[in-house]
Amino acid sequence: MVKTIKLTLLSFIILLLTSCWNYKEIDKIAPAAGVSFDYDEKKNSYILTVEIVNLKNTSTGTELLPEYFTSEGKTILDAIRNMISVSGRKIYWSHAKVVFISEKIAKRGIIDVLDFIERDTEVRTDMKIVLVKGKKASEIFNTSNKLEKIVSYHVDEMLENSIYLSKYPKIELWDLINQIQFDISTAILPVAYIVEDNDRKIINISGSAIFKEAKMIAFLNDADTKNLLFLRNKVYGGILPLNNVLGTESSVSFEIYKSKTKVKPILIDNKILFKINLSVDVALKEVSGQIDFIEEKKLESLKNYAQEKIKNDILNTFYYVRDTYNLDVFGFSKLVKINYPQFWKNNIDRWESLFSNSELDIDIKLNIIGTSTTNKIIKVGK
Amino acid sequence: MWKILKKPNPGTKISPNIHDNLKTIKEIFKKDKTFVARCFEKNNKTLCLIYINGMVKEDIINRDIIARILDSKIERNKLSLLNYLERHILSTSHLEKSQDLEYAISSILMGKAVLFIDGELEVLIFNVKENNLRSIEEPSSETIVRGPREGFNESLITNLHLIRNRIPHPDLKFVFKEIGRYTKTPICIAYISSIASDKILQEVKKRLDEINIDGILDSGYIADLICDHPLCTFQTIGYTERPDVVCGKLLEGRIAIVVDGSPFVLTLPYLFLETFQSNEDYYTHWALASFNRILRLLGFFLSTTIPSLYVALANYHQELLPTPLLLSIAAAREGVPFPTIVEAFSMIIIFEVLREAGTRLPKPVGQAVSIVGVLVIGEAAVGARFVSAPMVIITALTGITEFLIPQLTASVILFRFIILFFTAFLGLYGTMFGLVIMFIQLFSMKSFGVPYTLHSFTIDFQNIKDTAIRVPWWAMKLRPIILGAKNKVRNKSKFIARGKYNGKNN
Repeated sequence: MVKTIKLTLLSFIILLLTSCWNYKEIDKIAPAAGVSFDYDEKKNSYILTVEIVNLKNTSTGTELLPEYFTSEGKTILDAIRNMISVSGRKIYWSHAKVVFISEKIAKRGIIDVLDFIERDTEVRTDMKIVLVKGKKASEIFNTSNKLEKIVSYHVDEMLENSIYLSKYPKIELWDLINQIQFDISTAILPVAYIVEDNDRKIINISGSAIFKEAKMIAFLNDADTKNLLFLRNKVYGGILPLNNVLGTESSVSFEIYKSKTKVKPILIDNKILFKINLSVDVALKEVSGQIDFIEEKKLESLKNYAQEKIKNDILNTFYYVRDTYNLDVFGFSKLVKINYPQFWKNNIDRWESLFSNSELDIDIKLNIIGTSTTNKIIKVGK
Repeated sequence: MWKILKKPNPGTKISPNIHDNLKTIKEIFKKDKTFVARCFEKNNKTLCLIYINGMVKEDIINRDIIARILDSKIERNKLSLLNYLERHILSTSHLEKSQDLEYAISSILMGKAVLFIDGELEVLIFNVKENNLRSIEEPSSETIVRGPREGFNESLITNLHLIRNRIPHPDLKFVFKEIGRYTKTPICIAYISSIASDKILQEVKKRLDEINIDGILDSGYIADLICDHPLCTFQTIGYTERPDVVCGKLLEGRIAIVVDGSPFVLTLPYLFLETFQSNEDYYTHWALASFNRILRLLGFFLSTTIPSLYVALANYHQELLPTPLLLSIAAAREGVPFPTIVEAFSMIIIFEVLREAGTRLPKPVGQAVSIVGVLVIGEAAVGARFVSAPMVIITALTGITEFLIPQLTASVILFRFIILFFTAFLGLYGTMFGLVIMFIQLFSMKSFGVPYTLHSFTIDFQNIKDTAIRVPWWAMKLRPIILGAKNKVRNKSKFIARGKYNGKNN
C-alpha cells in the first residue's frame, strides 16, 4: 500500500516537474512580425520598435494590419519589458521574421543585439537580419506598399526571393553568429535603403555591408555582392547580363539555373593560392540585335566571352576587397583551417599578411543548357 | 399472477401410469393456454401427445404422427407399442426416446412434441420445432462493396450450415455446449482440427466451462465472460456477422464460437491489427487493400490525437505553427468566450451525443439529429462566436476518422479523453504521455496466450505480409505462425507473370 502511494506521488512529480506550464490562448498573444533596433547616444539607451500583427475580422475574412510600438531601455531586455507599458500584451517572438539593425548600432557593434536574440527562448535563430542604411532603423516601418501591409513580411519575401536575384545575401541569425564566432571574425549582411518613389517611401534591398569583428566597416554595391556570393557558393539564380558582346551592338542575358563553387586553398612557399572551380548552368534567355548567337560557332565564342567576363568580374571584386579592407568576407579562412589545421594553428596571428598576399585562380565552366522556348532570334525583315 | 414453473425432482423417471405423468405435467403448465395435450387411444392404450402451441409445426404433427398412428393397423408382435410405432409407423425424421421426465418437460419447452404411452417406461420425443427466423440477409453492420453478401442470422443451425457450406471438410469440427441455467442457450465451438492449436482450444473449453450464468442472450455475454482483459476497452475477442470472415479466420487457425440467438459469431485469438482489417481487403486488389488498411491505422491515431494536437499547438507550442496558420487560428478565435480546452472537451462530447442519438433513433428522426448538428453546431454556434471555426473542423475530423474503425470506438473515445486531459496540463509532452499510457496498455495485453500487438511493431518479412499491408495472395504462403497453427503452409500457388509472354505461353 505504502509502495503504491509512493509510486502515485512519484508519477505526479513527473507531471509537475516538466516546467511546461505555459498554457496561453492563441488569441491573447501579440505576435511580433519584426523588430528594429536603434541607439540613442545622448541618452545612452536602446530604442526598439516592434511591428505587431493586428488581426481584424471583416465580413470577407481576416485582415492583417500592422501595429507599431516603440520603447526605450538601458539594455535591450529592459526596452523589451518596457514595451508592455505601451502595448498591454506580452509580445510573442516566435513568429518574428526580420530584425532591422541601424547603421549606428552596426558601427558600434552588433553583439548586444545578437546576444539578446540568441539567448531568448521564444526567439528563433532563423530570423533574418537586415541592416538599414540611414539615420534610424525604425524608419523602415514608415514605408508603404500595397502588396503586403506588414513591412517585416514584405522584407522577408524580398529576402526569400533573393535566390532569383543574387544581388544581396540572405543571412539568418545562426549563420551570422557562426560567422562572427569564427577565428577570423567577419560577416556580411544585406542592406536596406529607404527610397522616395512618387510621394511614398519604399524599401530597396541592395548590396551588402561587411563586418569586421562584429563592427561594420564598409558597404559593397550589388555587383560586388554578386561576385562575393559566387565565391561563397551562395548563388542559386539570377541573371548574367552582357552588353556589347564581342564588340557588336548585341546584348545577351543568361539566367543562372545552378551554380557550384569549389574552393581549394593551396600553400605555396607560405603563400596561399585559392583555386576556384566555378561551374554555372545557364540558359540563354535574351538575345537582342541581329546576330544569331545560337548558331554553333557563335555560341562557342559567346560562351568564351561570358566566361572571361565573369572571371574578370570576380577577380576584380576579390582584389578590391583584399586590397581595400584586407578582410576575408569570402569564408576562405575556414577552408584553410579545415585543410591545413597545423599550418592554421601556427600562422593564425599573421593571417592578415597572409591574406593580403593571397592569390585567386579561377577555373570557370559555363554550361549553356538551353535557349528557352525558341532557338531562333527575331530577324527584322528587309 | 404468472404461475411459476415447478420443476419435477431431478432424475424423475417416467411412470408407467400415463395419468401420473400427465398430472405432473399439467401441474407445471396450469393455466397456461399454450399448452396442448392431445390424447387418443390405440389398441386400448391411451396415448397422449404433448406440445406447446405455436412452437411446433402442427401440420407435421397431424399428418406424420396422429394420423399415422390412428390409421395404422397394428399386428400382434413381440415389440411393445412404443417400439412398434417407432420402427414401423412414424415417419418423422428426428425422433428420440427418453426415460427421464425432466428431460421430456424441457423438450416440450424447447418446442418439441412428446408422446406418452400408457404402460411404457419411455416417451417418444419428436423434433418438430417451428423455425420462425429471419432469412439470410446482408449484414447491416459490415457492408462491403465486393464480396459475398450473406450474413448470419439468429439460428445456430443456419449459421453452422453457412460455415460448413464454405468448408466442406471432415476436419471442420463443431463442439456443442449449453450455457445458461434458464435460457439453456446452445453454443458451438467451431474449429479446423488439423490447423487450430490444441492449447488454445483447451483454454477456450475451460473458460466456457467456468461460465455459470442465468442466461445468454447474445454472443456479447460470452465475449465478456471469457475475454482476457475484461476491464480494458480494447477487445481481445473479435466478432463478425459474416460467414466468409469466420471461414477466413478458421483457415488461419483461429477458433469460432457460434451462439444460438445471435448473428454475431466470436473469433479468437484476436489481435490488435485485426481491427484494421476488413474481409474486403482480401477480395480487392492488394495495393488498394494495403492503402485502405494504412488509412484505417492513420484514422485510429488521428481520431485519438487530433483534438490534443490542436490544443497543444494552439495553446502551448504556437512556435510550431506556420505563421499564416497561427494568424488565421488567432483570428478565428477572436471573441470566443471559452478557453480552447473547454471548447475541445465540450465539442467532443457534443459530437458523441449526436452520434449516439443518430444511431439509436429510427431513420426518419435520425436525419433530424444531423440537421440539428449541422445547423446549430456548424453554423449558428460559429456565427454567434460560441465556438471557433477551427474547433468545428477539428471535431468533424475527429468524428470522421472515428468512423473508419467502428470496432475501436470505445478505446478511441476513452483514450481521446485521457490524452486530451494530459495535454490540457502539459502540451505536447502530455500528448506523448497519454500515448505512452495507451501503448503500455496495448503491449501488455494478451488474447488467449497470444500477445495482442503481435506483428504490429515487429518488422519481419514473413510476418508483416498480412498486417497493415496485404501482399498478393501468391506471396502469402504461410499461416500466421504465432497462432500456433499446426499446419503452416497455406498456399502453394506460384507467381506467374502471364502477361509477359503476350499470351503465347498461355
